[in-house]
Amino acid sequence: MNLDEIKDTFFTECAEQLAEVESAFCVVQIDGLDIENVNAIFRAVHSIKGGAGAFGFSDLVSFSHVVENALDIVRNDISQGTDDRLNLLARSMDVLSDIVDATREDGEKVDDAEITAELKAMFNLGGEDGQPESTAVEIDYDPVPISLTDLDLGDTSSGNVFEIVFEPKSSLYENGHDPQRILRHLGELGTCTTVVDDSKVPALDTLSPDEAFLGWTIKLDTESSEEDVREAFDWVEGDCTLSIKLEQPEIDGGGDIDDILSGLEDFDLGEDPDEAAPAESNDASVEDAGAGGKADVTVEAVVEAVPDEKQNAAGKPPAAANKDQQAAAAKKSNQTIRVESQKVDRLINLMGELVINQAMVSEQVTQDGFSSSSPTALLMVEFQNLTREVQESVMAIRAQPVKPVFMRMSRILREVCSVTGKKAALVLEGENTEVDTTVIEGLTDPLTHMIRNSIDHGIESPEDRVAAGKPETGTIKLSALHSSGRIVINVEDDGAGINRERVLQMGIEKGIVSENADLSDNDIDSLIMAPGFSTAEAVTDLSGRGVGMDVVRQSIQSLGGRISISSKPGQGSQFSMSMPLTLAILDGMVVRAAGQVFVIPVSAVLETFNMKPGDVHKIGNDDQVLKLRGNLVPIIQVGHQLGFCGKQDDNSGGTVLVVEAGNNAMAALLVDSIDGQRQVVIKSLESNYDRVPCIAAATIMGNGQIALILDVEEIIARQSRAAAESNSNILKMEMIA
Amino acid sequence: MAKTILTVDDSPTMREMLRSCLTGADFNVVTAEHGADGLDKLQESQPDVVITDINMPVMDGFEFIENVRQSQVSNRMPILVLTTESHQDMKMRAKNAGATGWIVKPFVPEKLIDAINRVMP
Repeated sequence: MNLDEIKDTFFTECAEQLAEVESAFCVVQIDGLDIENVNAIFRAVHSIKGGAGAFGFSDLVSFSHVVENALDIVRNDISQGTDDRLNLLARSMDVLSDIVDATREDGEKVDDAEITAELKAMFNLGGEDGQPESTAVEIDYDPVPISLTDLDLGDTSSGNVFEIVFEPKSSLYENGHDPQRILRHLGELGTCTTVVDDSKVPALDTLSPDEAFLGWTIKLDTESSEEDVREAFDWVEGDCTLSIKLEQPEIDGGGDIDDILSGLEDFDLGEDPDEAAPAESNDASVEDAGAGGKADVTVEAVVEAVPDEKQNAAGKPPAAANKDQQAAAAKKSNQTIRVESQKVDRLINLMGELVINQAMVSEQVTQDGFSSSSPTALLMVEFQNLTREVQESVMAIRAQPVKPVFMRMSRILREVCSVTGKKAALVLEGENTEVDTTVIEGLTDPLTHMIRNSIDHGIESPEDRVAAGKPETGTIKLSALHSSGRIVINVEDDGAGINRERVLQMGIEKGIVSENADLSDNDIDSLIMAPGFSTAEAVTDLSGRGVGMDVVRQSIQSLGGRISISSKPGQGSQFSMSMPLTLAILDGMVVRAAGQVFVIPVSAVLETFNMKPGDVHKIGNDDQVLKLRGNLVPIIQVGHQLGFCGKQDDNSGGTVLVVEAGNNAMAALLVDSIDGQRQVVIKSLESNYDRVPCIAAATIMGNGQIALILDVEEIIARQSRAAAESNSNILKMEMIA
Repeated sequence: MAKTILTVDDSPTMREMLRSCLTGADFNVVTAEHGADGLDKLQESQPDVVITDINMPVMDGFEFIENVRQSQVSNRMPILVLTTESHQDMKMRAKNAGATGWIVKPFVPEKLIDAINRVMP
């Protein structure tokens, strides 16, 4: 991984941490403050600060540091988390998120001076300059990089000579230290003459491996300062008795090296000779002797005691001794890997091709006259099942919970509330509902607009709410659920509801509807999604820029979704969006009507059957209904509805698919025949051609032929509109007569 | 044989930085996401040195170190604490829990390697 990739990881992490923060704030705002959520927020900010520091993003570091300090106060005393303070912290998170964005995009510096000042004032963080200590305080130990090979054996350095008396306590070993490594480190600072004191080592049979018995007296000739020498022991402070005294500077380095060397031949700390460490310490010893020749070198019987201590200090577990029950009991975490979305997209595309290819092979096998019990055909079935399983697994990779998008809405809510002076709380439901990433990406903009809209137009001012006997704070409920193979997202507010009188008047003013149009309440509500409709009397900063709900409807439609409104005056409005779970592959029922091949989404199909003469009834002029277990279901002739052929009168004996739309509307789609069930790859018509009424998309069949995928809901909606029209015409005619 | 380092950190960024830095210095790297995960990985990978963060969910660094020190087989494992907490009392708490040494984030790769070599068995 190179630095840029790690940076990407960092920004991905930031996004996740900020989503965590949003999530925690949501809980806090509804359920009140608790230490767990404060800790979660603190940790997230802390992590962002840590990563930012590593990359030197100073703006991010300094602001997150201030926020962290504020959070620390709340963390240490939960009663410090007043509403005012929480609101300020929530706003700080928004700024933090902006700074993260600016840092990622290399954009303009975010002005955080004001909110920093507010934070410092509200949390009494005076005296701090906002600079975290972690950048001010560099790494707190600074080894001097003298490599052993740089040392000249004959050179007698003129530096300081320290006499160091070092006696480890057992706690030194317990914390994973090894005196040998400290001695080695000293050897890197200069030349050492080391005398071991083993006088406290007891007889082997009474020796306890957990205790410390050895001490060392080291004469260190070095150019380093006393401070540097002390730093070699900074991690063992308190775990040993230590005295460091400066002796007179070295003047002369005489002495008989050969004698000393021969005396040192056996000097081995008892380590495996293959390992690098003892080899080094051996070298060090030799060099020590060489340079520090004037000193008396006493090498006593060190060897026996050290390996034991060494063994303990190293703490290498024997391979067979996996007895650590605590570790075994510890919770396993979810293993995740990060993959670039491009790679997954490519996989999905290939998957689509594979599905088409599999269908083609299947088709060819049938055409070539293999019977369904032939080995080839049986293998094909297996191939088909495997393809389906692979497809489902691949789609699962892309499925993500809608939570991050929902979380972003809480920020939108805060911003809109602060601009409008209204009070509203966001309630989330089903935020773990999973849906394809492309759908999630497409959801952000329409949802943002709807939330703004709900507060701006739906929720009343606090005074009006109180006057209407409602709680001062309005509620906006954002929920997600899976329903018949689609995801349904609802935005519900408890505001004033749609002002139908005003909407109708506006519609007439703008020429969207004619003055004498006879519109149902629902039709009037739907007007707000008509192009160019905006009820905002004063254009605010938020909604009411004239694009309004029209754009929302378009973006939902481009996701293959639909949006509906229901509103009750004085009680609130509900916007319901239903979208496919994926935009890539669909389980389809392949049917023929008027000589054409169509695909009907299996998720919409309730049942299929051949009608008998008694099943069909005529209603009105030429509408037909199917009597299905006591219910009357309108029959829609697919070929006629799409304009391929005229209306057939006698449909008894025809094949129908009973389908259901999102609003529980049912219909029986009359077709010539059903070819079978197949997975089809969705190819957008809109992006390749144009939007066609009643057609959701197109696909390529196994034989290479293009088939249209029906938009069941729109077909039903059109049919019921047409029926209503013709029936009302009949009524009007009767009245005239 | 290359030495193995276990890094315990909840931040994917830090894990990747450490991994990149340590593999560059020819160490084997095993990563864990929090203390409890760290205890598992410690058993599986039998590292030579452990580097741990302090502030982590599920099990923090202090608790992790205490657990290692109380364990049967890896109680003398060198454990370096890598944290943004530069306060003295944090160091003392880490030390009391059994930390071998500490490094303050943001770290400089060379100094990290030096620190590891300082405690490497």
